[in-house]
Amino acid sequence: MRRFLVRRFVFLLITLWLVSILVFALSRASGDPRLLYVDPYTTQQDFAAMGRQMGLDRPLAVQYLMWVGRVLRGDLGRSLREARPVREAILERVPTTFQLAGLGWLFIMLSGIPLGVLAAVKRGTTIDYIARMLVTCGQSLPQFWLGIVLILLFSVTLGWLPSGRKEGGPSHYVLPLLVIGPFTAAGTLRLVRAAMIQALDSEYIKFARAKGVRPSIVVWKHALRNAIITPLTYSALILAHLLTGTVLVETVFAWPGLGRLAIIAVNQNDFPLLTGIVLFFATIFLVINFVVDIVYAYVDPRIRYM
Amino acid sequence: MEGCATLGSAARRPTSVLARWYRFTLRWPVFPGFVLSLLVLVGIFAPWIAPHSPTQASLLDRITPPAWYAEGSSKYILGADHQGRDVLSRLVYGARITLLVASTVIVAAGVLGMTLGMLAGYIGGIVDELIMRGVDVILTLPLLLVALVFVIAFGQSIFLLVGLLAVFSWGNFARQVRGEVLQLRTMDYVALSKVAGAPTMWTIYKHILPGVTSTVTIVASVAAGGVIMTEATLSFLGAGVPPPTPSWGSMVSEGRLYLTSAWWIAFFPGLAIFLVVMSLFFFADWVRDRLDPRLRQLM
Repeated sequence: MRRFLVRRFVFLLITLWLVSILVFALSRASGDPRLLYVDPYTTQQDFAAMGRQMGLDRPLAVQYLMWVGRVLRGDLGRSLREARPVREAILERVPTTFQLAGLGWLFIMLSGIPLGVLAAVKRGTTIDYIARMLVTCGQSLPQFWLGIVLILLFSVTLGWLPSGRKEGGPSHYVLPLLVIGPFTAAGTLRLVRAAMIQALDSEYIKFARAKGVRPSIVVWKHALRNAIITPLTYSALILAHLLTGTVLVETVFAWPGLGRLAIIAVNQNDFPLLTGIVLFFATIFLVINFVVDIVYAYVDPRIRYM
Repeated sequence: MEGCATLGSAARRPTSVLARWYRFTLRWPVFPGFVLSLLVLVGIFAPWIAPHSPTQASLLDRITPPAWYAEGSSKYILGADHQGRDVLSRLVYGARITLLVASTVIVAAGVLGMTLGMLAGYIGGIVDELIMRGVDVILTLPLLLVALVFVIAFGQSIFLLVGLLAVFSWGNFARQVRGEVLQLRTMDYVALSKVAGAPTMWTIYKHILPGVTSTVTIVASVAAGGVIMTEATLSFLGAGVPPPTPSWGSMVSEGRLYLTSAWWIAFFPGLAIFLVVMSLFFFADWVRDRLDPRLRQLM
């Protein structure tokens, strides 16, 4: 276990390092970083002074290290359009995004797992086939389009639900959740179903049945416990996926979160802001991946030796 | 498979209409086949099919509703958008872009992934470790965000889009192929080839490659839907196909602003994405069933 932990941790660090190099290289490839800050009143001397201040006269490797040092201390630079530190702009919007992603995750788990179990138990029946068709439909619905259609139907035509914008009130969450749901819930359903089918066909389930254990306990305790490992791993990845996926949902519903901020940054060419958000998301994404692997290995000892 | 595995839970024959229909579509993918061949034909013959130019604006006709509305005109069957461009023609040319991007990406990612996967599986050791960790890195990076950074650094372009999608898609090919190769390399005919003194590359080309083609086909058919979806998503976010080239994703994005007055601008391209991706997924199921019956049980 220790060896696995260390190995996995080293991999996490290497990946983070690669991401940082990628972001740094791209920020340099996009042109002289000073140009982002230049206005009509900047003189030649100011320009040169900015270069020295930013360390542009030093070798690239040194510049990279300086940049990493700043990032590690939590200094992500200043946003160009918002005229304030990137960190401030990000932290301000973190709760909104996490709320949405967290609720979406809950919604997905509460719909995907029971439906997956149901489909597996009722294998080959109408319920199973409906579930399977829903899976394929759910996975092929473009989220951004689904959001627009839902807004068109429920907000514009029927006027039942607000078209997003978090202003309080639970009704604002309904449409965004309906958009986040189908795609990933479908994936969860598919995984749970496959794992449950495998579990239900195994010897210990036959034994439990033969022993006279109640069917509900066989399904929900014996089988699900073994079948849940893969979906559980997947579920944390869903959370990671949801966090970056909020870029879409927040754009469609004008939700004041990090994802929308990222798109605003793209549209306004606000490079420091965008790289800040990407570094933030990527770190969370990778750390979640790391934690999942560890939990996975803890729950299922077979993994450790792979 | 069903017979031997289901002693405990008793194999149930599907009886309902729905179940039969589902089985039927798995066996004969009529609907997906229809949608996909339509996509290919429309994509190839776009200039002959499209009634108007996809980029020619005609401001007098802006937001003309589809033909079945009283105010609609038969000139624009699916209506005209906010610049007076024919939605149908843009859809048709959008099919071409979708087809072009998806096929280029799948071929590039497939060749790259297959080559690296075979090397990793066959040679093993440090090569394997390097390649597979590379796959891990790629599969753990959030594509959407990385793409945004690339776009802001280099600007929108179709080459960038294809490159990014290909780089992010070869991982699955490599993983699956490697798994397959690990089994193939234990085969006697591979060992014999080695004994006969064949160079490594020759053995891979002659004896390993034919064994992984069905795996590659399966992965490609599954990946195609995902690639189209990602392309549409990136185009929707303004990080994909640059305007004025009509891409379904960017059409939805443009139409979003006119949702209350002209729903058809955003609706039809989204529907097209949905139908094509769904067809590809069903088609992928079918391909997998044909080529690898082992997996049939797990849908």
